[in-house]
Amino acid sequence: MDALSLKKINRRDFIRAGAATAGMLALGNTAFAKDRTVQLTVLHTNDVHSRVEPFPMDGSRNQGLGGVARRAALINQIRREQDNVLLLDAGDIFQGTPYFNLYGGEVEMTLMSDMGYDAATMGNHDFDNGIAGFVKQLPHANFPFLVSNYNFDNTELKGKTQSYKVFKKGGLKIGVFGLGIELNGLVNKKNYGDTIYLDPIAKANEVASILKNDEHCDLVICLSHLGYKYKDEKVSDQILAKSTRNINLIIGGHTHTFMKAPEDILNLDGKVTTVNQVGFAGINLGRLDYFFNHDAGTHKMVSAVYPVHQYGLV
Amino acid sequence: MKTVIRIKPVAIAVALSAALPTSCQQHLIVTKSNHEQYNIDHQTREDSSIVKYYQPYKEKMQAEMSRVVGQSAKELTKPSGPETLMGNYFSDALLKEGLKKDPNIQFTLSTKGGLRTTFPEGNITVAKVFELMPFENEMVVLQLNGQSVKDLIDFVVKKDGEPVAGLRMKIKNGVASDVTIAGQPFDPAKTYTLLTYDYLADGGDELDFLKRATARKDIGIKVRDALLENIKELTAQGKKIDAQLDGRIIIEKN
Repeated sequence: MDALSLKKINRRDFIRAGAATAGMLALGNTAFAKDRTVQLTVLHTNDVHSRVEPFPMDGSRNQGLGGVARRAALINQIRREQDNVLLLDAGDIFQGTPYFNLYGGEVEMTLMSDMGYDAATMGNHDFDNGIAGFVKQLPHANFPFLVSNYNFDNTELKGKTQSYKVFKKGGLKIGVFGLGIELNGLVNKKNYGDTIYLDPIAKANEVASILKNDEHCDLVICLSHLGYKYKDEKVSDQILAKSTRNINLIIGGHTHTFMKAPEDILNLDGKVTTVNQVGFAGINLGRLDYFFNHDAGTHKMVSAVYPVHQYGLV
Repeated sequence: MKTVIRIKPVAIAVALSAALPTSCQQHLIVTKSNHEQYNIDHQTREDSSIVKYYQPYKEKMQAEMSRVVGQSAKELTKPSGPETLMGNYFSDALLKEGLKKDPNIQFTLSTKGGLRTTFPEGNITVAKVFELMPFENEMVVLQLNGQSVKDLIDFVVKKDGEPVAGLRMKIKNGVASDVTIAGQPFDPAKTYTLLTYDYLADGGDELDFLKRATARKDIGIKVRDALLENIKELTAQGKKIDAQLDGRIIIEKN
């Protein structure tokens, strides 16, 4: 069965099953009513660019900001408070400080592993030492790299990345997949070699459908290095959100956008896809908490946004 | 297709609607979502084990990075303008180092966006050179026909100047005039030899016309290493890093 017909059947089944389920809701609610809310905490970074230490105190705009040791302490604190935490990165881990130039990414990968990152996708700068340079650092990463729209079959990376991964947290299934930006014109050909770039929208629809309909995920997250938005038609997170189904959250990168709050965009099904990005260099850590209710009666999503900039500017 | 059922009320619903295909599973519903953003700054506590991990890397790096490789005679800046002191130093150094590998090189092209910092007067450390060129770009020699060079000139005009060496021009009303390459008037019938780096040679920064080069030779030396070599040589000769605004690109006002 090809992907398209599979999707159609599943959608139809969903509508019919949904109607039948709705008829049973009264029974469900009375028979099983109790507070069964599960909280999922999604923490995220993007474009950390080898910023191991805080920016130096040299009068520059970002002086004193960021730093992995602080981020680690913050993440540890949140983990102590929350049972179900996912820690994700949207790419461009490499390049930006001499830590990368001298050590090739070993320090960045090791630190992300220590912090317990669950997954990351690849940004264009993660190709800066070539495919071989990236492969060389993979042993330092104990988390998977998720990239669905690069075909690495004719490269050293073949079999070393995954399209998606399904995480189980507190009885929830969370599907996470990754999307990379077009490399041609952005990355030296010699560095990406025979990597084939595939249309991110088509791929996103394909993978998100698998995660929602086949893997039965409760939440689908896309790690995107496409960029938040562009003046022209270039594919971006905004365009991706509008042009796809089944994605709940897009964690973006590449454009180093400091979003004041996540943006909710209606997708092809008229449902909300949330886009968020938190600048660059580990200056910010993003956090989204989702509350899931086992009672199917509450078919509404209330999105409350609390921009908590406890420490001042963003 | 096997159905996995985790939620009891739904399980009953599905069982009662027996005619239904069983490919559907009830997803949990998001009832509320919150967002927070943590600004990481000096008020955020540090995890000492993380610092302990990177400290040896940091010390080794600092020893290498803080090494003084040369002296700058004056501050090399890069304000907006058709030519800048940093742009000229960078381009002249690139030309000099490139000529050691290929004596046929006539001119160089870089982009303003590719030069990432300025030099202060006085001590220049390895770190400063890394800041100037943090990317792993490598030098590339391209053979360009007259049309491609014309496209290159138009590009420099459009950008109100880019870092170049061996190329001189005047720009008036968006048109280039008095263009010389390696001291000779530009002749669109001739072929020219350009030194640039791979990122640009591959068409980055809107330089698509560089992809139409008739020949390409990758020298295999990083731009950063060429700069370090240039400074090392100046220092060995008792000279300082220096540059002048020499009118290589002049924008003429009406």
